[in-house]
Amino acid sequence: MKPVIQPLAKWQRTLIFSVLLLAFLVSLPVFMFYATGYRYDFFSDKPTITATGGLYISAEAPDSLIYIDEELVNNARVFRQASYIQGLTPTVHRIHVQSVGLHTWVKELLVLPHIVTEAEAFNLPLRPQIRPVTEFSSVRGDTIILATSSAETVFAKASSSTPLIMATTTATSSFLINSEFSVLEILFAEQEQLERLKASSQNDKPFSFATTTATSSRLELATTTKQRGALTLYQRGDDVFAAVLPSTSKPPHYFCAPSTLPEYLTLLGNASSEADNLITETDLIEDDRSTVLETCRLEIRIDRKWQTVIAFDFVPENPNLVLLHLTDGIYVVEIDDRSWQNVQNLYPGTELKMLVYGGNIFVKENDFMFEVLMEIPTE
Amino acid sequence: MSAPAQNHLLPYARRDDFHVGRATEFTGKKRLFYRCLEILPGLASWTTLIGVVLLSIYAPFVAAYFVIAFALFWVLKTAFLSYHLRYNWKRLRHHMSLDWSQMISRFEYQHLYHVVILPFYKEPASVIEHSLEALLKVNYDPKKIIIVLAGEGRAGSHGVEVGEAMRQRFGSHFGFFLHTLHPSDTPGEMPGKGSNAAYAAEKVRTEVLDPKGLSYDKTLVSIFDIDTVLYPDYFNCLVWHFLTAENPLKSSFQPVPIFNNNIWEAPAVARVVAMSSTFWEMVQQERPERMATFSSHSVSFQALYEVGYWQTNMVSEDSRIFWNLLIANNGQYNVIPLSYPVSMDANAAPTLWKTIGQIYKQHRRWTYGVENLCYILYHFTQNTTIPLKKRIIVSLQQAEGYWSLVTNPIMLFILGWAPIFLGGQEFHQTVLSYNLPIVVRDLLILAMFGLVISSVISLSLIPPRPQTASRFRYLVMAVQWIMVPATMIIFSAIPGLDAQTRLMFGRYMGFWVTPKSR
Repeated sequence: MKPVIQPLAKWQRTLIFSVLLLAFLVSLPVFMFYATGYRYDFFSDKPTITATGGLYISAEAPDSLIYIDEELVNNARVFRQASYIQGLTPTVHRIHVQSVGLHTWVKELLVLPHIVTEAEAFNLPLRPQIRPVTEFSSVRGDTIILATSSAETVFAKASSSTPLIMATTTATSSFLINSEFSVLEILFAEQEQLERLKASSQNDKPFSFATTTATSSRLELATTTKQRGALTLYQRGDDVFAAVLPSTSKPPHYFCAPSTLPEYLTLLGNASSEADNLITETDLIEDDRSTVLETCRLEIRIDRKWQTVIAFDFVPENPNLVLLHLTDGIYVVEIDDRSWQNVQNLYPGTELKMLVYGGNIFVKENDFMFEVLMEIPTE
Repeated sequence: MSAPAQNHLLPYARRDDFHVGRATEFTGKKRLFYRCLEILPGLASWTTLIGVVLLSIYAPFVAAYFVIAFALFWVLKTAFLSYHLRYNWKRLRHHMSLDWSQMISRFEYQHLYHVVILPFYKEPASVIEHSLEALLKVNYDPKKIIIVLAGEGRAGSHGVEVGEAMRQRFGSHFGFFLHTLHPSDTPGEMPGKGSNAAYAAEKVRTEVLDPKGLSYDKTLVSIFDIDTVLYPDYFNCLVWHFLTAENPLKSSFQPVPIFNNNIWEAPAVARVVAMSSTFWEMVQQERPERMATFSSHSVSFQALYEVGYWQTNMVSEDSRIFWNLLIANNGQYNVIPLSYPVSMDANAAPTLWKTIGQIYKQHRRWTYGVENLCYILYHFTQNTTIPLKKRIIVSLQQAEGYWSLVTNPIMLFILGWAPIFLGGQEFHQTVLSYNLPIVVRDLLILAMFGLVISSVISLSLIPPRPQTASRFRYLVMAVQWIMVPATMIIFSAIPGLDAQTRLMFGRYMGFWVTPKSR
C-alpha cells in the first residue's frame, strides 16, 4: 500500500521548467521592446512595428483633462500630479490641458522616438480668485471690508472664498487691527519709493551702445534681476529674459529643446519643415540626438504681449513660470517657449501694484490690497 | 566524555579535517583556501549589489534591461515555486489524512526503536511539557520510544531541575527516559544545539543502546527542537518511509516544520515569516535533490554513528549533518521528504519590537548556514570519489541558493529603481526610463498571485481558532501576505547579507538560542 499522491515526478518538473523557460525566452524580447517604446499596430492596413515616444505632462489643476490632437487621453499612467502618455507616434502633437473654470493650456510638442517629452501645464482660474487683506478683522477672524469704490471695483471682476464682513461705518473701535495689512502697506510704499529712485537714476545715466551679448554683460545691463534656483530673470530693453545661471550644470529641459519643428529639422540638417512629417529612427541617429539635446540655449525671451513690462518676478514655488505685470494686468507666462509660451491672465487692471512676498502674490488696486490666488480654493 | 573511537567511522569521516568548522582550524595553504571559500559568498553578493548600482550609473540602459529581465525571471520563478508548493500542500494533506498505522501493518517493524533527542537550554518547563505530552499521544508504542531530554550545563540549575521533573512525570511512559546534561566549556566545542545533541547521542549509545543490545541500524534518531509538537502518525509515517526507502541507512527523513503552535498569539509579521519558512520547506519537499536536513528531522543511529554525530564546532548543525553524511558516504546519501508535518513555535516575543529582533537574529543564524557552502566546496575538492557531475550540480545549486537569498529581494524591490535615480539625464528622458517602473511594477503585481496561493494554503494549516481570538483574525491572516516584500528584505536578505559579511571578514558567529515563550 502506498500513498495515492506520489512526489512530484521528475518529468513533470522538467516539463513545467521547460514551459516557463520558453515563456521567459519568448516574452523577454517583447517586454524589452515594449519598454523601449516599440509598438506593433495590429489594426492598421499595413501592420508595422513603430518606435514611439511619450509625453509627460504635469498639471496641478484638479480634475484636469488632457487632450492630444483633440482626443481625450484616457490611458495615461498618473504619477502624483503628472500624466505619462506613451505609445505616441513620433511627430508634433497638439496638447490641451483643461479643467472647468480654468484657462486652457495649449502647446504643440515634438515627440521623438524612444524619448519622453516633458511639459508642465498650468491653468489659472478664469475668474480671478482673491483674498482681501484689509486693515481690520473681526474678533472671530473674519475680514472686515469697508464699502469703498475700490473694493467694489475689485469684486466686480474677482471672487473670494474668504469669510467677509461688509462694514459701512468708519466706527472701527470694535475691530482688530490686521498686522498683515500694516506690513504690506509698508512694503508697497517701499517698493514705490525704490521704483522712483530707479527711474531717476536711469534718467541720469549717460547714453551708450551695447557691445556684447555675453551672459555677464547681459546681467550687468539688467535693471532688476530676480533669481530662483538655476534661473535668473532680467530685463533688457523692453523685454524680460529668463537665463540659466553660468554656474548651473543642469539647465531646465526646455532650455535644451528646439522651440519649433523647423528649428529641430535645421539642427538635423534636414531641409524639410513639414510639421506633420513623421520622424523616423533613421532621421534621428545617435549623434543627431545628442546634438539636439546638447544644444542648450542660455536665455529665453518672455512673451510680453507687446506691452510694457511694469514689473516681473518668478511665480512663488514655481521657477518655470514668470509673473509679468503688464499695462492691462498681471499675467503668468511660462518660460518654456517650445512652439509658444502660454500666457494666462492672473488679474486684470490698469491701476495695479504687484508684490511677491512670503511666497504669495499681493496686488494693490487703488487703495485696496489683496492676495491673488493661483487656483480656485476648495472648501 | 571521551571522544568515540575512530574505527566505527566511515573512511572519509576519519580525516582530521572532516569536521572542520572554520578556516582558523587549518594552517598553511588549506587555511588560505578555506578562508577564500569563506570570503566567496559575501564577495559574490556584495559584488552583485554594488555592480547593479554601478551599472545603473555608468550603463543605465543595460541596468534597465537587466532589471526587466530579472523581474520577469522572478514572476516565472514564483510560478515555478508556487506549483511545487501547491503540489506539496496537496500531498501533505493527503499524508495527514492517511492511516499510517494501517499503512505499516504489512511490515515487520516491531524491532525498530526511536530515539527522540530534545535539546533544550533555558526554555520554560511548560514548552517542554507540551512537547512531551504530544509525544505521549502519538499512535505508536511508547515503549519503543527512547526520550533523551538533553539539557545544557551552562543553563545552571534550570537544566537539572526541569530535566528531573520531566523524567519523574513522563519517565515511566516511555521505553526509556534519559536526562543528559551537556557540560559547559568543553574545549573545541561551540556551545549550541550541535554539541548538546552529539553529547546526548553518545550518552544514549553508551547508556541505553549498548546495554540493551539495541542495534544501531534498527534505531531511528529523531532530533526535535524543544518546541516541536508531533502529529499522531509521525513515527508511523517515518517507519513507512524508512522501510520503503531504497537505502534507508543512507537516508535522512525530513518532515515539514509548520511554525503554528502559537500562531494565534504571534503578531502578523511573525506569522508571515514563520509560514514563509514552512512554505520554503514544502517547496523543497518536491525537489529533494536540493534538500538538506533542516531543524527537526530523523536519521538512523547507524548513519549518525558512522560520521561521529553532529558537529560540535559550528552553528548550522541541522543541515551540516546532512553534508557530513553525503560527503562521508561519497555522495551516496539523500534526504527523503516525509511530507508530514511537525508543529513548532512561530518566533514571537512579548513585544512586537522584541519579536522583530528575535526573528532577525534567528534568520541570521539560519542564513549563517552559508558556512556549509564553504564546507561543501572544500570537501568536494578533497573527496573525488563523489561523481564530478554531482559535485558540480550540488555546488551550483547551493551557491545559487545563498546568493539569490541575499541579492534577489534587494535587487527586485530596492535596486530595481536604481537606473531611474542614478541613470543621469540622457537616460532619464527616454521612454525606457519612464516604462521601467511601470513594467517592473506590473510584473511584480503578476508575481503576487503566488501570495494568493500562500494565503489560501496558510489558512488551511493553522490550528483551530481559540475562543479568545475573533473571526476577524482570519481576514488579517489572509491579507497579511502583502507584507512579504518587506519581510523578504528585512528577515531574509539583510540578515543573510549580515551573516555572509561576518563570515567574509572572519567574524564568526556563535549559536544564538531563540527564546521560546508562550
